[in-house]
Amino acid sequence: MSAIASFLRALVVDPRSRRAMEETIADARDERPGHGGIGRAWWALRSAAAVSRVLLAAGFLETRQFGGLALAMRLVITLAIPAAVYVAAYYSLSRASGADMTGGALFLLLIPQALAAWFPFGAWWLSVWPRRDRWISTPFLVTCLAIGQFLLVGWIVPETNQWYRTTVFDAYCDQQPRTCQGATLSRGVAELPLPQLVRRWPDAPLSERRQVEMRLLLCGLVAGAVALGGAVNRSSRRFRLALTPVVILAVVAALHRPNVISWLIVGLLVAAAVGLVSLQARRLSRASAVTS
Amino acid sequence: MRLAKSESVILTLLAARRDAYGLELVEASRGKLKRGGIYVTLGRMEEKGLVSSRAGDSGRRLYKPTALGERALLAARVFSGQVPLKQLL
Repeated sequence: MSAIASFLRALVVDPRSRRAMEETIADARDERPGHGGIGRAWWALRSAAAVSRVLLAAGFLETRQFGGLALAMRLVITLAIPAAVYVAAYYSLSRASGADMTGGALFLLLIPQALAAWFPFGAWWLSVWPRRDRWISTPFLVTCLAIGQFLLVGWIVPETNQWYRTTVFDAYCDQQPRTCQGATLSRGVAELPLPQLVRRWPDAPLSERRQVEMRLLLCGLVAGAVALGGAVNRSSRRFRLALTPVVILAVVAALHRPNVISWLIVGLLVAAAVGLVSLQARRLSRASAVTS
Repeated sequence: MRLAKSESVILTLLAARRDAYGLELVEASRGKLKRGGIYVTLGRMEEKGLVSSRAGDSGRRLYKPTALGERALLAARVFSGQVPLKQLL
C-alpha cells in the first residue's frame, strides 16, 4: 500500500468506512491510466472526488457513533470553512492585483482576524442544531467559547496582525532600503493586546476606546449567540430556521458600530435565551405534574 | 423495511447481473450512483442483510443480492405501483 493510501486509510476509524476507503483506493488503482496528460489529470480528479465522498460519509457516520466528537467536528467546521474561504479570497485577490505574496504564507497570519469576526455567526451555527453529546451543558459551552474568543481578540489577533505588518514592512525595506533608513514600525491600535489598551483607557483617544468596545462586543456576541442557540436547539426546525436570519441581522447590526445599542442586542440575545430556557423548564414541570 | 433511492438502484442493478463490483454498478447506473459513496451505501446494505459480498481481485469485493434484498426490492416495487401486488404474495 502506498504512503498516500495508508494515510487515507488512517483517516477513518470505523471498520465500515475503512472498507469503503480501501475499495475506493482499489478502484482508483485499477483505473489508473498508464500515460500522463489529461487522462491522468481526469483520473486524479475523479479519484480525489471519490475519496472525499467516502471521507465525508465517514465523518458523519463516525460523529454519529461517537457522540462526544460531534461538537469537536462542528467546531472544526466552524473554524475551517471561513478559514478556507478567506484563504481562497486572499489568494485570488493577491493574484488579481499581481502583488507579491511575501513568502506565500502571509495570509495565514490574517486568519485569526477573520475567525474573530466570523465566530459570532459560527457560534450560532455551532449551538443551534441539537447535539447528542448532552454531557456538555450549554452554560459550559457558552463559557468555553466566550473565553476562546476573548483570547483570540485579546492576544492572538493583535500578535498575528503585528507579525503580518512586520513581515510586509521588512519585505518593503528589502526592496527600498533608503526609504526605511531609521524607520521603526510601532504597533497600531489593532495590534495592541487588550491589557495594554485597558491600561491606557482613562486617557485613550476615541479610536482606542472603540477598539476595546469592539473586542469585548465580539466576545459578548459569541456568548449571546451560543446561549440562544443552546436554548432553542430542541425547538422545531422551522422555528430555528426562522430565527437564524434574525440572529444574523442582530449580530451584523451590533458589529456595524459598537455603541449602547450593540450591548443592548447582546443583552437581548442572552435574555431571550434565559427566557426560553425558563419557559421550557416551566412547561416540563407542568407536564410532569400532569403525568404523575 | 424502507429502501433509500440509492439502495433501490443498487438492488435493481444487482438483480439483473447477480454479482458485480462497486465500480461496475457505478458505471451501469448512469450517474445515479457515485464513486466512493457507493461503498458506504453497500456497507450499510450489507449490515441490513440486503446484499452479501466476497473478496474479488485486487482488493475489491464482489456484491450480490441476498434473498431479503430481492424481497425488499420487490416490496418497494409493489408499493410504488411498478409491480402488481399478487407478485409479492
